Amino acid sequence: MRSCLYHIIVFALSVAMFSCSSSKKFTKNYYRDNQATLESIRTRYKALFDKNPFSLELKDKQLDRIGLEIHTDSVRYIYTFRTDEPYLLDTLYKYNYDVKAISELINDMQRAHCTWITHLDYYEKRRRKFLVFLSVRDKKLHAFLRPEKYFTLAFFDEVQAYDEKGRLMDNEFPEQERKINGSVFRRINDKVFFALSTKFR
Amino acid sequence: MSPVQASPGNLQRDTTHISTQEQALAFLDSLQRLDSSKHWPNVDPRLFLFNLRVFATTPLRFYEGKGTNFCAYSALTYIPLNHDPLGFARFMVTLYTKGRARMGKVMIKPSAAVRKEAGLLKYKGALDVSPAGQIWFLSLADHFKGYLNFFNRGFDKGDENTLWASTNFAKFNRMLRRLFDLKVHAKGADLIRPWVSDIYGYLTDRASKGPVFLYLNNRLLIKKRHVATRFGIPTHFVLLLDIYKSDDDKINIVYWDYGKKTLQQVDASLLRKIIFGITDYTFKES
Repeated sequence: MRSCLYHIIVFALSVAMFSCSSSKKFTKNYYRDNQATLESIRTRYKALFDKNPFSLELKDKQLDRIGLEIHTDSVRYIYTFRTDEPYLLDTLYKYNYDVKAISELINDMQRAHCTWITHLDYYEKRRRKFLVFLSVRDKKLHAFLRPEKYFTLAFFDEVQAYDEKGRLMDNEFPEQERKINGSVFRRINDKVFFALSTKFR
Repeated sequence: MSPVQASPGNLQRDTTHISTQEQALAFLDSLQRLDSSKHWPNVDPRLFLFNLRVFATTPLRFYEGKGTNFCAYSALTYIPLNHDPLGFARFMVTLYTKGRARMGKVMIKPSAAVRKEAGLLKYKGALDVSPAGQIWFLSLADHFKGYLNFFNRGFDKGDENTLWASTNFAKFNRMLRRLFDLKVHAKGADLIRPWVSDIYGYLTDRASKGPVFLYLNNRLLIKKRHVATRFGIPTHFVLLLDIYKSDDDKINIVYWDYGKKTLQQVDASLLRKIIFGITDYTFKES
């Protein structure tokens, strides 16, 4: 009985250790290996958003159900489409989006396993500013007996404050930690920060 | 799924007005300016007055803040902003200048911790620049308590995101009854869905008479992770403004939260699964 318990504990510890090392390795390498794709998605999304605001979600593991949120001044429309249906393109057309550019963006998001992209606002000295928030769902972040994690990225337009551990800090009060969606973000470069989160949005 | 347009919904059917936007603006104009208040040391009086003007002119932009547990207080704010904007503006100005004010049957007298915090909430989106909204939310959360607040009754920094600010269904209905002169009709509970055989029919009927508050499982309505939620619990209050079916038999719900109307298509089974509480109201005949 004691031997059985010992084996279970060793197995659980091994799983936990393997899971942690897998996450660390992933975060270290993922942005570097996919920088061009991620930056391209971010830049094109921002240009499209500035013309006509929207958010995109890839809703399932097969990445063939698309969630589209259309933001107008007073109304948010939330739609779900299958990629094999014509309604997505019809809707983009109806709301005057650049259908070709958004279709290409969706294809690239599918290839990069981006599950969510949106524009978030925040305020500094009472001035409204924006960041692009992007989540990646990758099987390397899955681990046995652990909740699924997402690699989330925050792209800022301006240089951000961070502490000696690379944690994102408040630009106005650099001694204060700054969370986004409840997660602590860490520096990739002066304008890009990441977090491993249990939520993709 | 085919695209559909949001309809104005119940906003046009909901015509009881105790005061008007114009009266609220005239009152705020008559004040010209406010002095800083010793009760709210971190609230800029000019920004406070500006916020009150925005509440009066664009009530549906009233915003609860990102990541906070203020959704219940935000949802019920529809009532004073829509039906009595002058009464709300007067209440807020009194609360600011005197540190206490009466609304309905309740004397709101916020604690020192809350008064010190108002104006300092940060990274909550537009709530950052709405000290008046912060005063209102923090004061309500400080005053009204339910069983979810049992283990965290006093405000500490960051408690706007914790159980301190949470609202269960009974507390929500109690707030409506005590703050406003309303007949409140509620169905449902915190963990048990309302016993209504045809939820779409019921909501359609209720929504045809006026706005309806829904207490729902937001994790299913707006998914934030790719897991099947087995034990759904309600976490979010919204104001249902309209509900109707489209040609493909999908149900379109138009609801108000986070300073915007949202139109979302759901199927009947999801609608049934997410709703735990339904509250509608009528004004008492005087």
